[in-house]
Amino acid sequence: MGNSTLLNLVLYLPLVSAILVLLVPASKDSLVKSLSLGLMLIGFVLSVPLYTGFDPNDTALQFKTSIPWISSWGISYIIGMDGINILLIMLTTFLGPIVVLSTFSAVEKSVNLFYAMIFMLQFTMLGAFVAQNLFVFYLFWEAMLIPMFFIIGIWGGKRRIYATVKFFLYTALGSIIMLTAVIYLAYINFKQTGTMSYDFVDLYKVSVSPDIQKWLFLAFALSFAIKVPMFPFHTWLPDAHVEAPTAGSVILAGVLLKMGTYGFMRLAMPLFPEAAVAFAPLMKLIAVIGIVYGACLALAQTDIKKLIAYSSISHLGYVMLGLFSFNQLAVEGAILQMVNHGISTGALFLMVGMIYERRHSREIADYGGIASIIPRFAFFFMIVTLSSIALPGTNGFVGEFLILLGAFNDGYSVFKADGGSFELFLSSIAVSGVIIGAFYMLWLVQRFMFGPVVHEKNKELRDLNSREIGVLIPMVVMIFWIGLFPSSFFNKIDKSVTEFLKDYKRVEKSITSTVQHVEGVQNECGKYTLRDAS
Amino acid sequence: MCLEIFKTSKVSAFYLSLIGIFSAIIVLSIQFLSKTSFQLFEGHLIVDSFAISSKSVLLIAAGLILMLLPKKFQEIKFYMLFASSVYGAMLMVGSGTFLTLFIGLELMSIPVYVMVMFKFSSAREVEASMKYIVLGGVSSAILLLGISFLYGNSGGIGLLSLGHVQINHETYFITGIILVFMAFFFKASIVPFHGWSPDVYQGATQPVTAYMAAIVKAAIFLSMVRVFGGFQIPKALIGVLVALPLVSVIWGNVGAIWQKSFKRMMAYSSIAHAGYVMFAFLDTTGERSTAIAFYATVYAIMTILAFAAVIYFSDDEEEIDDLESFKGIFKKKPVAAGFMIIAMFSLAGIPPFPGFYAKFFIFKSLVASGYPVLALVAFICSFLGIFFYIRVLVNIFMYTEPEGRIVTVQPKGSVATANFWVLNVMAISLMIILFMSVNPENIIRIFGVSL
Repeated sequence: MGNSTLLNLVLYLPLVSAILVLLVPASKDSLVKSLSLGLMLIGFVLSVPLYTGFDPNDTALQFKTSIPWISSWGISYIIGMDGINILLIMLTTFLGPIVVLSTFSAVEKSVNLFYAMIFMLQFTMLGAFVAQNLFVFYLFWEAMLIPMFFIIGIWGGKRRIYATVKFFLYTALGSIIMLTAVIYLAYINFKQTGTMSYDFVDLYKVSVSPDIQKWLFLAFALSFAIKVPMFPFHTWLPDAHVEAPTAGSVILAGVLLKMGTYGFMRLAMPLFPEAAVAFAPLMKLIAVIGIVYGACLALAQTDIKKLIAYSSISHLGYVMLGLFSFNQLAVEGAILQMVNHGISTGALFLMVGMIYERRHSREIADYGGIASIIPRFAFFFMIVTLSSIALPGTNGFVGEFLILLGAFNDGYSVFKADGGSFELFLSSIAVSGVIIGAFYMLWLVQRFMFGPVVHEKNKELRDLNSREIGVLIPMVVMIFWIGLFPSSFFNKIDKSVTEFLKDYKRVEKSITSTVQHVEGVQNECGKYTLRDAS
Repeated sequence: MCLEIFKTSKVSAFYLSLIGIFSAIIVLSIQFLSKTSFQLFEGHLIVDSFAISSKSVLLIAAGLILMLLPKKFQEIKFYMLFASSVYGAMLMVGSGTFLTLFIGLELMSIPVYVMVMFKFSSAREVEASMKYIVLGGVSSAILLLGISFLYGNSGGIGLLSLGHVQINHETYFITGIILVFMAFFFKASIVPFHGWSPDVYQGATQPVTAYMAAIVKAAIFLSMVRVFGGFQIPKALIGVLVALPLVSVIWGNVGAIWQKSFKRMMAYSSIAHAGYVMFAFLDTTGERSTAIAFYATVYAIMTILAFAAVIYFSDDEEEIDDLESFKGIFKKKPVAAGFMIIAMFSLAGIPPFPGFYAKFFIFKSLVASGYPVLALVAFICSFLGIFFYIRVLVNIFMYTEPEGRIVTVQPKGSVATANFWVLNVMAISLMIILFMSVNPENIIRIFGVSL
């Protein structure tokens, strides 16, 4: 792996960029903006070789850097990539330039500080994804709060201070409890091996007694569940989303929430496998409650941004359901669903932000019939909506389908083994989320874009300009790329997921045959949709 | 040696004091690099690596505070007080017996009583000074009483021998230890001996408050390492050492939430921080001294940074202390506001700032010594603290300036000269903080080799 410099470069570029941007005087708006965009694009371009150069057959860490850091505490600086974080790293670098481009007209005050904060956020998020040492992970994990705190607090809406303090305190509480568990785990490792180490690889090997495992798992799970956010820890999310500026919402939905689910995959589950299996029914239950509850709340919203925020809770419920189903299909579906949610929901927030800039309202009732006035907007909004409700052919379908299939398989295997039908029942309930999802999204589209034009103001709406189309096109391309050719993405993560599942003795199926099957089903469905459309 | 150089600076003005401090630091670093270690005056004074590194920390902090002093304090009288107080602090960390420790403590405290009311402009400063004198006197008396009990037990007043002293009279010994701890708790403002600190902190001028919060506190912590660094805590005391710091952390953090004055808030914050430090005395893994010294260093630097930023907020003559008046100040003083981010998040213990490492160090040793539940509780209590630190930032960044306040544009020249040094202070502390964040290992090792 001679390529470790590349990953470091991708990681530290945003940090350097943040400083560069701060050095530009705030009065030179356009310079700051183009500089930020350029730096973000460089970051993305640099990350492409990481993806293409990633060897899917090697389950060991790739692009690995490992150097001792605080050696008297046994802490080393280790970063690296494997099948579990590769897609999320790519998602982060992919969304970077899009977020910057989308805010060109939205941010007016303290522009250089704003972009510096975006870069800091980018830096800490990438850091948390690539970190392979628990201490380093925690540093990035917690440091992430700082830029987000300012982004919501300075550039947010009316109740921004309430929202940002709530966001900060909620997540910090979770992190602090996790930190105790981190130290305790490292200490158990120290007692067993005689050396202090926070490396993931070393900590995975620690054998913890089931009782203590439960407590430590709960401590980690609480922190991650707040970040996901899972029911009942979700209350900070709608506030944060609604008050955050568009860029903040996009990053929050696109990447930040994945920290929670990623944390489960990377830490809570592999560190405490027995506790994870023991808590699986509970976690699944909470996930399914989240799916249905989030969807129902979304139905009741009159504020578009809030509606999308609640739909996030529902979508991430699927991810959690997939992860705790412990089989290849569901876990791969969950990873893909993380990316999907980042793209679809990110795009939805982008579009809400665009319309908000024009009309300064997020109330559904203030719109209606705008499809005829701004057709280009309506076109993109429809695609993104369909992706969000997981129409076959779009990315959402692949993820949700695999998760549900995997969850059923898992529930069925439990049923066959000891006749417990609870998990099977949960999987069935989860399916209803798809239906409610279609309901609230399509209802939103109907009220938002179709029908008669009630408000005079809406008649003067401008359609999307070329910059905004430029923002949306990459998103739409990704929606269809993942939707139509998911196997290239699964190839990258396949082996790592198998490795991840090694600890859990559950029923497994060959993934490749199923993916082909899924693609077959999709093509069939795609034909029908196309026929219906024409 | 270093002390001689420092004495010369007493009679000089600002620059000479700075030069004095600077040359003292150079002497100390030479001593450190050559690994000097000897005892003076039959063991009353110890020069070892711990003393050297602690003195360097105190001197750097003193130099920074010196630069923060406003014009009205720039008098030889004040510098004399300042220098002798710093000298006392250095004597404390280098003391080999209770005798030198006590002399150092008095030498450090007595000038501070005067510094608090120096050039007083209101009764508040006098009141603060009086409170400080009375309570400081009481704590000195308690310390002396404790020392005499310990002397009654062993017939010696050596500090190094305290850990393995023969216990002849258990009651004497335990009482003595408790009294010495009490005296230190007084000075470090641990609940229930904390009552004086909010009033005194609020009464003093900001740089003097910074001096009390940073240097006096750090000197107390560091000299506690001298006294109890390798000391096996008797079983009878463990309950107290669990309870009092915990109560301090809660009291400090909760109390700070309600404060409207920045200095009062920092006083409560310092109560909480003293609580964290005292947790280290439960440590049994041998990391106690390093953890405390590291914490004291970090705490001193970040407190100074916070005060420097606030002093920079103030327009020349009048002090800004009301948290309300911080609102929207980011627009006027963006650089200082930026430094405030670092200071506040560091004090709150949010990574990647050094405050986090310091807290991590203490809690790590707490878990390793078999108190995981206490660590959890203490962590959750420390969470309470986050709220008021970020409230400062909310005020600075997220509110616009309250209406009706007249924005006066200062003539640039006068402000620039006064603020030049404050900016320097911020820049130097920033460099130290960056150094500590990127590579805490070095600082740990500097203290790790000692004792």
